[in-house]
Amino acid sequence: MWWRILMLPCKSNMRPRMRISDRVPEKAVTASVDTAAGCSSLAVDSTGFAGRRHMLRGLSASVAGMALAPFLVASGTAGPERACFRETYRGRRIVVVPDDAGLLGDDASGGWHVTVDGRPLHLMRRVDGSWMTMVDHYQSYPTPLAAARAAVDELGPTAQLGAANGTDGHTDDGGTPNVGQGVEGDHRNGVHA
Amino acid sequence: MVYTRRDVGTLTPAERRRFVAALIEVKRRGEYDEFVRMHIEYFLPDGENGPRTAHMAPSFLPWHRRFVLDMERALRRVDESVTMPYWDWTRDRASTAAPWTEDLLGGTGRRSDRQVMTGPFAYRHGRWTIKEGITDVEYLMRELGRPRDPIALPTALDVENALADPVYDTAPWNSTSAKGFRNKLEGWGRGRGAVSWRNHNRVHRWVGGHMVSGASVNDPVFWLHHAFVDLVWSRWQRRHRNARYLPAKPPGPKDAQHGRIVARHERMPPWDVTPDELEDHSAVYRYV
Ligand SMILES: [Cu+2]
Repeated sequence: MWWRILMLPCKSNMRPRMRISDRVPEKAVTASVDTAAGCSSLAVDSTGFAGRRHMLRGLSASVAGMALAPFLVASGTAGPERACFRETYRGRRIVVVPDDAGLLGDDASGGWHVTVDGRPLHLMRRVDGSWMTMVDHYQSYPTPLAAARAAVDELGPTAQLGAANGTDGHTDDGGTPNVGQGVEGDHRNGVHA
Repeated sequence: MVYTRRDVGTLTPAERRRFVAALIEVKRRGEYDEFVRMHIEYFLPDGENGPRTAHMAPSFLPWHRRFVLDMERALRRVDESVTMPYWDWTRDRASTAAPWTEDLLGGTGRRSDRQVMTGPFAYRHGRWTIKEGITDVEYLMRELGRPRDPIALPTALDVENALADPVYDTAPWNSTSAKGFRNKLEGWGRGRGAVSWRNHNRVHRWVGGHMVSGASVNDPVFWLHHAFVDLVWSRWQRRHRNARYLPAKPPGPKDAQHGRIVARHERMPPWDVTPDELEDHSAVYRYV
């Protein structure tokens, strides 16, 4: 593999969590894991969607800052399976936040909230337990992180999540787009000219 | 009057020009992006709650038949001579052949950002700005054959493997249905990676860029691809004369798919139409 994954256990109140040599090798993956307990303080946010976004952006920004921080070994126990996870993959900041209690609302799916460079990446489940995203929609992956990395692969070097018009693709109101009305008047017709 | 849908490679230069012009006019009118939004809205994987109609479900084929028909109607309102061409990817397999020519859809994207630079849909012409994307990218993206990790288009044999199945679809009526024509053509295979993408799904992957995203409709090749998938369904119907759309009846209340898929005589959202009503297209169009 051309990348390295560095996972260091850490407590959420300790700042630098990544081991970065002076020069970050291109395409390197750097990662950190918080324990679930440490994470929940990050995940719980009573200020709603806007506040949550703000919080996640802030979190990502601090991860970005850490990329230049000197190496510092954090103490603590290794993170359990459901832990906050942050990594820099191909220069993109991936943050995976568990959401067992559904605190993050509709935007989190299957108990996970994922962002890439601070922007929400909507995860969806297949019935076989695998995961897919809107960025890479004709394939699925074994874990939320694998789906997020695949999304980063598809984003390429410059694209950012979120349409130019500010939506993330899925509308949340469950409304039906009006293609039927706008494009064609006669609804009940099977195959007709 | 019944019109014909033809292989895109057989269109004359004038027909190509008119097809491209109609697409660009439908886009200019704002109608095209409605289709993009609708496809995004209806792509619900089978591990999520709620009814599925467009993908990972028996109605994958009638849903896209109607979707292509609606686009074809939009094109024909602009130019009545236009019909939806199909791209037979079992035959036209080169990234330089139809439909990737300068006078049709243009070619693959450039290496740095996958931006399509050739043909009528290149961003610099200002006529094909992506408005309904998953990302902030405003230009059309493609990566034909995915050079960074090459894959091949499905073959005639892959299509034949789907066509040979005499049953339309089987329980559990989702992306894990191992038997049945529908999923063999839709292409949710077992395993991981390249071996698991078959037929329809594999073509999305081969084109790359927008075509692998939920906003795949942004690439006009979406329609040519789905017209061919529709043609393959037609072929299957001719080969298995007595086979019908399944399930004939909705799954019962104890079935995990209860209320989540569309049976033969049930309404298929967002239209007020049933799969039964979409099975026979011979009064509207035929394939040559
Ligand atoms: Cu498709």
